[in-house]
Amino acid sequence: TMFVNKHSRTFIFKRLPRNYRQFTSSSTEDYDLVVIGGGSGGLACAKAASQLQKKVAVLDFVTPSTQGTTWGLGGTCVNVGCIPKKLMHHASLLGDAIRDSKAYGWNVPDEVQSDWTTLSTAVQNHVKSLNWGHRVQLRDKNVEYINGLGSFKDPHTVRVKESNGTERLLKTRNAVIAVGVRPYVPSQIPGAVEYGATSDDLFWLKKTPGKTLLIGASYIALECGGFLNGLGFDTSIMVRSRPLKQFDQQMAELVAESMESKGTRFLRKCVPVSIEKDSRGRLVVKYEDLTNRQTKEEVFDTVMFATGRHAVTNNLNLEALGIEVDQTTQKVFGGHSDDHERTSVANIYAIGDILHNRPELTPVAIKAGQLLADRLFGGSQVQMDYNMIPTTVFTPLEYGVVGISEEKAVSCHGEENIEVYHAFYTPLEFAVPRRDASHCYIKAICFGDRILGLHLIGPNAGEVIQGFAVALRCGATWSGLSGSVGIHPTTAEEVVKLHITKRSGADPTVTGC
Amino acid sequence: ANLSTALLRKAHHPHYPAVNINYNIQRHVATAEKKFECFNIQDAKDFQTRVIESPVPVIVDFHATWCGPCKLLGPRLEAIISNKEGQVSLAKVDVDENVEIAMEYLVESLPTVIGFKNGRKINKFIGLQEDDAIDSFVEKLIH
Repeated sequence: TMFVNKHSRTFIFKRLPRNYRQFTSSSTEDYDLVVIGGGSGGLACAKAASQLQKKVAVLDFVTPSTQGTTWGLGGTCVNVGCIPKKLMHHASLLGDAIRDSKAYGWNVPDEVQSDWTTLSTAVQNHVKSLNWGHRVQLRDKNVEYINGLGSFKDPHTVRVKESNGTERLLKTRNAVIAVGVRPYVPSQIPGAVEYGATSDDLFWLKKTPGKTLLIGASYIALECGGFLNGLGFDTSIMVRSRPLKQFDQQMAELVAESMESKGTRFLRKCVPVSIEKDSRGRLVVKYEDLTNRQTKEEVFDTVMFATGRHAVTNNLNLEALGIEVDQTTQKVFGGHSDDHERTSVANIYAIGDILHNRPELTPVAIKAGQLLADRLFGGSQVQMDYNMIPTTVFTPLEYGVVGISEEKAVSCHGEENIEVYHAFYTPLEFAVPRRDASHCYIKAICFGDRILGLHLIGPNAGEVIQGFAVALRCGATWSGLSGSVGIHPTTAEEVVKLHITKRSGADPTVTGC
Repeated sequence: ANLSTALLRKAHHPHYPAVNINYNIQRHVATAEKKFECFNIQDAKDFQTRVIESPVPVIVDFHATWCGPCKLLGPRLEAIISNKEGQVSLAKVDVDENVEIAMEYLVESLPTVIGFKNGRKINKFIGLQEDDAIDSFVEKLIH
């Protein structure tokens, strides 16, 4: 039942047990901003706007996955992305560390096993504490939170349908679409939707994944396959063409090889044909080897699709408003009227994964959201800079990168104008347990003194690349980088020690101290 | 099951590793007389009736299933309050099930324990505490 009387002027209102709302000061039903989507971008934008004394509401709702998984406030990153992924990646690295520790004199058993239930419970508990933390933050920053599915009635009215069925209309001056994307499962493959899990489900699996097949060649497939293998599960990754197609291909190949050397099986140039359940409840996957057109069959406990992430915008009613979306991905076009995030409707913006042709990364969404709030309400003119965004693929041997790939550099400037400095190096700590370091590699792609791209495969690549990304953003040049003194002994110092060019043909293996 | 076996069961539950069971409590409670009220709050109406309108002071334990320190604090609270001969009750609020109540009382970190008397918030502590700190908190509420 509604309780807001539009004739009420000033009141402070507390109502239980339904949604806790507190309206302060001269209250009309008008919002300055309604954000649809409570993920990395949506929450950041809402909180920033509220800090500027604006009346803000954030809508968040999780439509259950194909396997029925659902989660709390915080979006993909918190619940089914970055956070659980990184924790599980770390869990699998700890397995390596335990094995290495023997060489360092620790008394550990020959065989160590990981327990999925203990791990997933610990990860889920942390995620739930973050859900709670976000609820508290929204309250602290005076942002109204509504657990409901939003859609547009008109450019200034958002309809929200709450989980209990009640509907509200929110009149707002501005709106931000921050609904993100969800895993795409190819429904034309028999059994895919019925039996296939996705990253939406993996971190919340009640039972142990067991022998797992990941279908896809994205960083999601590789990261998940990587930690599952590291945790001791029989892991296969089915790749239609090449792994990590969006990344520098030399680095992608090294990453895949490093995973293969750790026991992950790649089924290259294969595509799934069908998935069925056998009498014991296991999944029978029929697949085709594209090289010889042979159909093969294998049984797995878990099949996870990582075949792309698509926008789910059909329920937002964007078409009626004339908000343009990309026909293939359904993502929202920004860039109207010289604003990167403005849609084709003047008071409606899009940030985060839902925004067409921008990196699908949490820090990108957060920064874009904050800058947008500043432009809307803080008088700022600063646009989001989508260039030189660093990122890291958290495969067991991590791949950190800032800038463009070698292929892109060559196509933009011509091979004769590009200089690539590279090195194969061995992290010091690998030496004692005699760990395979043959995939630890760095390259800097330069155009004259300009650094176009820096790529690094090695332990803690994410931590290493962050600092260099700042340097590049501040205009660090090749001579500046190579003139810097390293910290010893680290793997990061190998970046400033780069000196062998691909062009020279010399052996790029780092020797000695 | 009577209260003593419930306490014993909790003491040996893997989630409650640090609890030492005081067998004096067990004998005390085995007289089949309910020594204190301990209940889980279901909703706002429940909170209103059993906490706000309670004739005796109520200690409210705001906790969550995902909160480690909460699982350690729970049994300590129960053990201490059970020794107060019914002068104070214990209400448990799972913040995920009762978000609005937690928001209303500005609960942020967990566990948060708030003492209520005559419908008003009297005192509060946050985080896992030692037994004597809990005891003096409870005593302060009662008197």
